[in-house]
Amino acid sequence: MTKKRKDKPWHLKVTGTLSIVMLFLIFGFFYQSFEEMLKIAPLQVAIERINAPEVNKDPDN
Amino acid sequence: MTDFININPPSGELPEEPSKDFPWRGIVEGFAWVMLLAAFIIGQIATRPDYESMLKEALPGDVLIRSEVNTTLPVVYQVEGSEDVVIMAEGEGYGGPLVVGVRARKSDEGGRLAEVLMLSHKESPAFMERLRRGHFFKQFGGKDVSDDFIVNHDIDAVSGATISSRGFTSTVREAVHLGAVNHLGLKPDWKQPGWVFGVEEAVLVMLFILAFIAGYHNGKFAKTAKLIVMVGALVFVGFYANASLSLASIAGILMGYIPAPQQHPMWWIMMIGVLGSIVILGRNIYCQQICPFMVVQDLAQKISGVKLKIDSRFQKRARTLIFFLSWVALMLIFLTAHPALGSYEPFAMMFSLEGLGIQWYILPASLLGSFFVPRFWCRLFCPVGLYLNELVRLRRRVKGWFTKTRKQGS
Repeated sequence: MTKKRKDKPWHLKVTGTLSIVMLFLIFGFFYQSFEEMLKIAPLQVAIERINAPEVNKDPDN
Repeated sequence: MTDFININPPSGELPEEPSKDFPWRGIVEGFAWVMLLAAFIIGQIATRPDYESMLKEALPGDVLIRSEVNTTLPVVYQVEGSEDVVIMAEGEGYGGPLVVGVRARKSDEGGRLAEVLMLSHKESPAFMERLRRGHFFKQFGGKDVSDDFIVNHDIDAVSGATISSRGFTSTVREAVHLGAVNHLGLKPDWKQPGWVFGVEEAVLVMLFILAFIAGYHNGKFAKTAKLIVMVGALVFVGFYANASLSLASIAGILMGYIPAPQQHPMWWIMMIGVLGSIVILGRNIYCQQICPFMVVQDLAQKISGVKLKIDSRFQKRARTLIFFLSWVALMLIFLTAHPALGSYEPFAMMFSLEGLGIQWYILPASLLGSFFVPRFWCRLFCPVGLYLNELVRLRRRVKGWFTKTRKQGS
């Protein structure tokens, strides 16, 4: 016969508390993403711009 | 030997379907699907940028004359009053499509890359930061247009952002070489990129083969194989390649962001390995062995030695909760058409140590949970695990249906 393990109430309390903290953080992330979404401008130009190093334009130098 | 915790309940003990006595369940589910579809359509229409305007805004001093009347990228522009050409092209990054504009300038040697503009991308901020810190973009400035532009040949990839590095490089290469041949009159004597199947891809294939062997067999060899796979997953899939599956990966597929196999074979190996294990073995090998964050959680749990049991009712509620969280995340992703914006998992941050704002708190909180509850994240919050387990469930149903039909037929 296998012995069925009983759920301990304090296990549930600790797990529940940790889960609630995680939920708050995840919803915080969603809020942060939502703010990012609002920030996205219709024209987002040159997220990264790479210019070639300046070449020496003066042939004498 | 490592203590393996199967997050997939054994066959026949999959979580029960929620009770049917809740009358609004169908309505709520239907509403959720309609909302997702609406978000997808709105996102596709509203987030379609006008790249030409973006390019013109980025180059305010130049008058750009479109060379061809193309409706799709790449598009070439002549710069009025100069011999410069600007080419706009689209490629595939890790998170989705990316669009670049490159300016090629005629020189005595042929041509030079004068300017590169990244106009749009779907990479996560962490990956972009990694590329910037790795001075990846600086490698392009001033390069000759007839250079090869091949990663690990004349361009160095940034480790942990290899796919992004390859995606950006190949997009720039396509644009530059198009300009070089058609508008600067150069002969294409550069090297063509081949399949990028190297050591990294071979390691990933080996990990999956070992995981398959471990999934089919029992005994000492299988245990050793599992251990090798777990170490490999942590070191290679996690810290080296930072290639964990996330909600962003799933959403990317739904939005059609599927990279070319020649360019991103690792993505394909991962997908074939993960789905193949479900179809062939009927097991979710990714969550059981390949996921590096699972290994991290097991290590945290080993260190603490505490194993708090999750109440069975609590575990059932968690399933609904993950569906809800992933629904919110998918809404955000579809509305923005940006997979990284809704991906709330701590994986990328764990293995790159790059994150933004509240992500810095999600990672330690999930690790703290793992100190007390075995595989805390996997069991209570992970959408990837939930969806892969749903596929396992679907496979069992289909198999059961086939078996039943065959029995009835004979």
